[in-house]
Amino acid sequence: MLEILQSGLHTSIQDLGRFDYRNYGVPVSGVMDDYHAKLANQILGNDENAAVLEMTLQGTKLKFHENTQIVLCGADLSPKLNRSDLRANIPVKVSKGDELEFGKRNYGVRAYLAIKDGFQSSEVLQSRSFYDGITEKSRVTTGDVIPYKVFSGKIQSKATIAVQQEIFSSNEICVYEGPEFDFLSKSQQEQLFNTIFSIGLNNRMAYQLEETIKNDCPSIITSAVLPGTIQLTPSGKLIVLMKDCQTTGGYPRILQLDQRSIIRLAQKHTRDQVYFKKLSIL
Amino acid sequence: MYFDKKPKNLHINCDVGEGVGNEEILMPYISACNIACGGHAGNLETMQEIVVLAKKYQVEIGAHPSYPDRENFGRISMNIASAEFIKTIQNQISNLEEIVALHDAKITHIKPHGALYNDVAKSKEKAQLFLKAILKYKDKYKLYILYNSVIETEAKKQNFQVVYEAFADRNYNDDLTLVSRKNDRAVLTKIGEIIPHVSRLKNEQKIQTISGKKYNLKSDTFCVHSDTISAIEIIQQLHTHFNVENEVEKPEFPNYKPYGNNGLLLTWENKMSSEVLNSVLEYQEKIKKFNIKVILNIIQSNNSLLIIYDNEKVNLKSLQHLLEWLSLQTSNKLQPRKSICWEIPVCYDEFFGIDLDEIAQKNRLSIEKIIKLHTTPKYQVFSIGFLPGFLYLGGLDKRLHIDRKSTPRLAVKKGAVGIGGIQTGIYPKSSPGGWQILGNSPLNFFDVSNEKPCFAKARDFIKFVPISIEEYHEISTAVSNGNYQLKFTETC
Repeated sequence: MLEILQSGLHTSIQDLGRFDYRNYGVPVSGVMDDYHAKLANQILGNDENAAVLEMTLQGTKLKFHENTQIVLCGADLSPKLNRSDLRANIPVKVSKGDELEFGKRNYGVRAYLAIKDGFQSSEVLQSRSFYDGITEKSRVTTGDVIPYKVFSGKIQSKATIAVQQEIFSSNEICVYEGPEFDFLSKSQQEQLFNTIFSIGLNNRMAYQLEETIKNDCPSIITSAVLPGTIQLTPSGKLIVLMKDCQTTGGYPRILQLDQRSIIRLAQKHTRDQVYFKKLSIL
Repeated sequence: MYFDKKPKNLHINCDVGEGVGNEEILMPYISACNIACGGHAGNLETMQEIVVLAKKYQVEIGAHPSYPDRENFGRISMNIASAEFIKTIQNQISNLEEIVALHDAKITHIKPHGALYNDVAKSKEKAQLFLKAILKYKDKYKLYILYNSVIETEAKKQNFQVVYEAFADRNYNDDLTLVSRKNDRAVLTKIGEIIPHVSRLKNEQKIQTISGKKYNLKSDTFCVHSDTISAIEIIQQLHTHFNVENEVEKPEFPNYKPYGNNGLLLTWENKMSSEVLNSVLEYQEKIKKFNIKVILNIIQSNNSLLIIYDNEKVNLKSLQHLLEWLSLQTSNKLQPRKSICWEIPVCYDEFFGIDLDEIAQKNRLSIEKIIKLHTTPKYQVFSIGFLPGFLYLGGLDKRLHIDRKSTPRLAVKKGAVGIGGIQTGIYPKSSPGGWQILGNSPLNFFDVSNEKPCFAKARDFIKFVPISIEEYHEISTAVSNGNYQLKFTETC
């Protein structure tokens, strides 16, 4: 098992999510950055849906109680295994008693720890992803232990996988028109694509953007929303919904992020800036 | 569930069961399918799956035997001993025969695949060997062949029943062979080229070759390659052009709109009403009954359905075409369904009803009147959303409409029953919220240990039943001990 010595800012267990319960009002949840979580599992030869630990920004400290292999992907939070630097994107053998600690944030927001065969926490409604009210906890706390399988075999480490810097550095967010895009006037549409937006409050549910768009749109009858949907709120602020978002909403859905841009945004922090680029579906 | 299929003007056939996985989208538009039976692709499972689909959509079933070469997908000529060749071809066909028999369907034809198809068209020796292999099926199954090919002469000598096959999406050489795929004009991809090409073949029995010359060419069936996403669009358009007699007037609702690159949003009239909800749910049930695998999820709300699809298997246009077609099918009328009315005990004691005074003041009602008005109607469940287990309810008395609180509470209690604007609802768990709270229900509205975590579903009704604080505690204890029996009545 893995012992949480310090939980850090927001650490949770996530797999790819819970897709089949949205008609009961259950959010999708799952890793915010699918690319790095899948990559980590792939490096260890795990199922891509194996549960990983998602760490946010700083402060997490962990202790391994069995031998296994791990890999870290995603944000660079200065990981140290028994006080020596640990490389990302490469399988690492850990032994009973080893401690993994995160320090200063160099880039990105969310780091992923994958473990051979995935974390074995209990499944609820076909997923291990934490969500308040569905799983017992919404985040791990200091003192928690998470079960995993002992593994003493060897994993063939393939050539080092280069870090995809553009995920962390690019400010371009690619979007499709949302179902209520035509609620916007020509000038509102132009404003949307000519504004540089700064990230405000953000968490696993949503990223709020600071700059406002004049809003005179009517609200809609509550209808489905998705991770990556941008809602225009009555105050004119844009809200980008993320993995823990509610299943339905009543604000106009003006834009929809593509998969890659959800990943980029998941690695952005408060005050980072982004701009929109329009994609077409057909 | 089966539907009535009218005979089609244009006989379209597709090679299927080759691992592309788009068969369910094709089936409504085609007349015949050629099922890979283990030679170049396919196994018992895929054959089974396709036979079931073909039967459902009344599509003719053909065996599609090949050189036994899965690695090269049967695309390379092979020289194997005659006996061995005959054995593999017969094995492949008998595999399919067994499955077809299990499903009480029948095989109508045989069509050789890939390199074998080309070889028998050109080589007398290969044609004779293949005919020898399928001799025992001569009286049972027809044989798909190219017009003016070597196998045509041989097959006719032996009295095989032949069906002339032409290719709807391929260019032809002057010798009536297909233009090699190495040439970039080999495949016709534009519907503007394909329709005249097919019309000429069908109506004049003539082909215009790549050089622009016209020759006679007989065709009874048209093959369309179905292994690309755009091919499905071609098949749908051919079907619309040749097989749909009159443009059917499209119903006003739903509206179809893209939502991201893997979502299709269907929206009905912009209001919350039982009629709209029924249309939404009936449509959803139709889609579910057809069990279309490229549809990954359907998210239902008050006047819309969001369909999440596999965008590697189907594109938006084709999916919309399929759904529109499906929605016009009349043979699958839904049975009128009984609806359930759940009795929800609510304690309106001021201990729970923390906003009763405010509602009374603002709406000029006595507390007794508020409770009376709130417990009289049967509320219809429109959808579940916002929080896990939160029911959107329609039917609140106008006299109870009231604005949300100006400052939302940080924590509204689990079970709280409130009013927000024109709606009433129950908080399934403790959560921040701005609704005016008038009572609390001791029931669990969301339970992860149940396979269906909510007892209520869209179209059900609920009725609030006032209880005392003593009853509240009794029910609460029973619920936590797991021995509370939910009360409900059934209505038509």
